[in-house]
Amino acid sequence: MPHPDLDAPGLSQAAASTSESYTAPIDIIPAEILHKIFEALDSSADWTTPSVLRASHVCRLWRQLIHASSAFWSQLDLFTSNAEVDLHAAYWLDRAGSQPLSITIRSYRSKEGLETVSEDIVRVRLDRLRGVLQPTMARWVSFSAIIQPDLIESFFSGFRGMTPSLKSMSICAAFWNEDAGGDEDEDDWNEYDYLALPIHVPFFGDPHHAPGAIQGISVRATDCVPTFATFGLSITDLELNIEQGAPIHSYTVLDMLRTCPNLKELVLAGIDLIPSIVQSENPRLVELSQLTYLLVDGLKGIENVLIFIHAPSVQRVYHRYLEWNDRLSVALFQISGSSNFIVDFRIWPNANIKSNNWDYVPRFRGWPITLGAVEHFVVATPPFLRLLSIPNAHILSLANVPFDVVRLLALSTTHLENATLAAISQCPATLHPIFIRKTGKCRFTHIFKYF
Amino acid sequence: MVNLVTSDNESFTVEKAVASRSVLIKNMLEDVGESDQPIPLPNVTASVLKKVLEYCDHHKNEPMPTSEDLAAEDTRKRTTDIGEWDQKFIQVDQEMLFEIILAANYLDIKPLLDVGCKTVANMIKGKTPEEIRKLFNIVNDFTPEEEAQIKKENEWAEDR
Repeated sequence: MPHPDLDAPGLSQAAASTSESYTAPIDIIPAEILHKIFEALDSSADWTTPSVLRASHVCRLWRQLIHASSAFWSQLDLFTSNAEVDLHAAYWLDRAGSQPLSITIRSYRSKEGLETVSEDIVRVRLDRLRGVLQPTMARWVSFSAIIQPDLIESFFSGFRGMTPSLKSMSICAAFWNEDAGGDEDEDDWNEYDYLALPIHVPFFGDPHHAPGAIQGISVRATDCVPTFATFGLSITDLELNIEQGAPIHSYTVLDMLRTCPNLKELVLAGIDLIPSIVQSENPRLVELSQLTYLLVDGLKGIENVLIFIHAPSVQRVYHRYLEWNDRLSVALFQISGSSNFIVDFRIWPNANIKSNNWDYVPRFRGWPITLGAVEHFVVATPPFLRLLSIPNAHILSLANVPFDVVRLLALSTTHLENATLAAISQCPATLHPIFIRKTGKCRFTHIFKYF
Repeated sequence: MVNLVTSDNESFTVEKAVASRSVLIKNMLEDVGESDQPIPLPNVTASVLKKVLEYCDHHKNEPMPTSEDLAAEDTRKRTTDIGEWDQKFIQVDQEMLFEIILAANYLDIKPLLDVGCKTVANMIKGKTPEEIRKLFNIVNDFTPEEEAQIKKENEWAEDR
């Protein structure tokens, strides 16, 4: 049966007529099978020009087949280095028909031979591109944009419309494509001093969605902190990455979270070289009642955000590269204390900051903290551990802690199935009998070398 | 056993399980019921059918793809990965490759058709239009206007 896209007059017969003219083996292949071949080609990951586009440059028959199939034109890979980026987009959209669209906007395809153009020129290109893309917003399934920091706010603020089909979105404020990060010289990095700007994304969700029926949109923001119009109500997964830039105020991040009240998964990540999130005056509490997964990955000053988050349904809490301070200990206390559903709780201090980090005694109000639902528990900070009781823990992983902490935690649970212990210090001359009974199935790594 | 007769009048007697990898033959057998009548395959030559039956024999114990499998494959991202045995099997000259693809399409053997299409896609992948033309002996028949538009498309989308 011919492919539905191949209904342009004469296309199905085109291959057959070609076969009368030439004797190449491929000439016996009918149009619908050529289409299948192009579909297979379309899926191939090729770092250069899209393979199907190149195939359309082989001969008239192939070109006609590919141009007649809207599916091959639904992924727009656009570059602001292209002076005709708007014409490029319009050309693709003409052929994409009513297909759902995946749009990617980047600075360039390849840095080789790239001409540096002024910010004003890029601004004009982006304005023209937005004019072409705006009418298609309802068909966007995924949207990803890397836009230079000074232009990202104006680019997004100019979009107004419904995005009822949008499932994933990525926004990055950067001069260069993400893949070029490691190659930039120092001068490039100096330009990032004013990044992490708050930007508003005026997309609107589907007005016909039943209340409570969450659409499930995944959003990733890098070096910018977006706030969302009603579209934010449909966001369930949000990842904020701050890798460069100046200090940002906690209210900026909290404002972002406030526009995404139905979040289920939240990742807040950064690197320890950058300035931190600074405390704002009297921010309001953000209620994230649906949140079940929280991962903080080395974002300095994140306690100034966490302390204002109420997440009563959170089940999994992970904090990597943590640097203890009183405010953070209060924030973690609040998060762990406000949910009865935590099943997995893991904290890894920043190993590069030994002093004051490993020996820090968190300032908790009221202890021990009982994490009744916890099944997996990984924490590598002894003073914090002394304050905990984990009656339902199945898995315990401890490192660099004294033996009495191991015993305390092992005794606090009656469900222990697997314990991984590394570099346990201050072990008694003989193993405590209770400890042996509790860890009947346990795996020991380095404990014995300390006897 | 099932008796298949090719366009060049050669007979192949094969297990029903092997022949039934072809949806076309499977449906014919179901329509006809138990019968010793040979099944004519006017669009397939003996040399091609021999190859196709080799594929069917190798895969005879695998579950037939259901309509749900096919729909799922359409919706998820396709890949051009081909299994190890299939890769060796499909290492044939171009003429045979395209004949196998045609036969798989006619006999309705979707997995074999996929292997054939992916193989051709892999041959095209990473090549310039000129290299593709050379590979398949295709004539560049573009008009000057089309050439100009192609140049423009390259400026927009190629490495630069």
